[in-house]
Amino acid sequence: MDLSYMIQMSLNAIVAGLLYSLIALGFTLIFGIARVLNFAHGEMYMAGAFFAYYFISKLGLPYFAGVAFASILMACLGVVFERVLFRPIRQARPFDMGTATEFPTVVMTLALSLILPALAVVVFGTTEKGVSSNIEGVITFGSVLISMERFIIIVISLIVFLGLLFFIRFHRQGRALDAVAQDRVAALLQGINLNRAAALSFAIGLGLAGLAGGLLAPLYYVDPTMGPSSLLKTFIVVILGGIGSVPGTLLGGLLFGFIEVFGRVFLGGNLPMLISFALVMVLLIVKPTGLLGHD
Amino acid sequence: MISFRNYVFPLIIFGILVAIPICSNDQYYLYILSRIFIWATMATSLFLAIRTGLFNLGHAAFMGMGAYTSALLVTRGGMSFWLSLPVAAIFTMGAAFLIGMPILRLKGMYYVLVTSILCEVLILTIGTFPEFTGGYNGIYGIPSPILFGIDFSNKVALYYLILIFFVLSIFICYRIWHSQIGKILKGIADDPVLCESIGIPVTVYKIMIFAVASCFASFSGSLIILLNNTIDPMMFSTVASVNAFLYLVLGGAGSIFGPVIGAFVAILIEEIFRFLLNLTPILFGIIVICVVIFFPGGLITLRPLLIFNRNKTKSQKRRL
Repeated sequence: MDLSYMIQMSLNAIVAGLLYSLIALGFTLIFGIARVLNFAHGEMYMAGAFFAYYFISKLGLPYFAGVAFASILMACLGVVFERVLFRPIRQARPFDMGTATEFPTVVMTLALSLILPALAVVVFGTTEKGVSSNIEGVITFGSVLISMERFIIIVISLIVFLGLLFFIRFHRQGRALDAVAQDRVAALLQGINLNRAAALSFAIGLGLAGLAGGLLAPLYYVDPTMGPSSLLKTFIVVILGGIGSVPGTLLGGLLFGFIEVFGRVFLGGNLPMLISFALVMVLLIVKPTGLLGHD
Repeated sequence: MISFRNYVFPLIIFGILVAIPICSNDQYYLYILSRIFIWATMATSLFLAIRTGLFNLGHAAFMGMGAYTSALLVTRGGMSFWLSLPVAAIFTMGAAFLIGMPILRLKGMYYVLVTSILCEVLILTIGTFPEFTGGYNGIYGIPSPILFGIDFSNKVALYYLILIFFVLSIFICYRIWHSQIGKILKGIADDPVLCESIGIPVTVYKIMIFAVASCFASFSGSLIILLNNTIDPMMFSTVASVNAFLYLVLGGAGSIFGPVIGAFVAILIEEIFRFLLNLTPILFGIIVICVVIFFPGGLITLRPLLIFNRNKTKSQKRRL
């Protein structure tokens, strides 16, 4: 087991980890701001992948345009979902902090997680779909190879992460999101439009899910059953990193990516997943708010 | 306070259910009804946990634990099914106790997220030891038990067995919920800090009700293997937990009969619209969304439409 092999695996782990954290970031944003625990997030990611497949393979758009369109379409869908399904519930009880026993929003997302995969089966059929990105070429650093495809994924996700961090720190709307996440009542008293913040969080969250779906489509197959497993990974990433923390989500994603890739190579089978479950349990006993999260 | 009046309507329903196999011998209907009873038991046990404030999306994991313990004891250990039923329940309660200790301390969303990965943990654990548990293929041909000369491979006998278990479980849950303990549990859901401050050991009660709910889940798991004679890990995936939860929501979490009605309506819809194939989940999802929007208290809030409504509107309002 020489060094370059280890570096190679680490690169793969980083790619996987970045994509997981993109999905988890959307999940944690929607929860932090709209107070909706989105159990349909895996299905949203699946929908994004299918849109990317449709744009790229069926309509013949270039890869980047297809991914961008899928992401934008998912963002629009996010606004629609928020408007139609979640806003009425929230407006019925404006100061609800979304505690665990508050089921209406959870029921909505669970119902969506039933509807979306069935819809995908009806529209696209059950067969696995492949998407070709038409990006070729390999970058070599000494003895370490990385395909252009994966390199672009790393670059895009890092840009998105930094962009989002800057947006939340410095942009007016982004700071409004931060304020809502910290204290809804105080934010409302400051004149922040809660509905707009929630719609924005849904747009960003689903847009990120769509982006991750589009970026992952050429690496794996696209099929209607891929939602639940990615939702599970999202949960692990979110719990590891701490709910509501953007850097924590990145850290959690990378950690999980490393466990998955190295575990698969050295242990194989189900063990990597079981190890991450055990890790999650131990972490929650030691620090119940995740690595970088706080109450 | 046991008042006979409260039991009139349930007794009428019970009478009808007892009479069904006498009137019709159709195996298909008996199978559907047995399934409804099992899932109604499951949803009612979930009701106890959820109304205590323990939102649990991993309840099917405990069902699976009970089912697998029973199945393994019967097929591998050669134990009688009747003995394996309580053994599985005790095992599941112990497991719920051990799992509950760390996770019931968690706050809000962390707790929900951890419970929703429990089913996956069970499936992966079963899949990791295929020699012992049968792996993802499951276990086939689980023998039906015999008691006092009654062979329970007979669907009518099995129907009565499941009906008795169902009625007993609902009755016990009803008595728990309407007892002094039930009041404490409601209080814990409303304000755990206040309960703690007046000297109620909140964590003890939470762990207790978590274990009791998993005990009923374990019973329904053991019974479902009798109904199907096979068992495989995917029967107890998160989808099963979500279904039980949606039955509860559909019927309404305001009353203990809500989950029963929810399971009944949902499984009937599923069976009636089976011909829609892939469209069935879409239909069910849309129905659930409509119920959440238009009847936030679930179908049980339609009860005033029934002629049997003797409850005062005040208690009705309080439950919503």
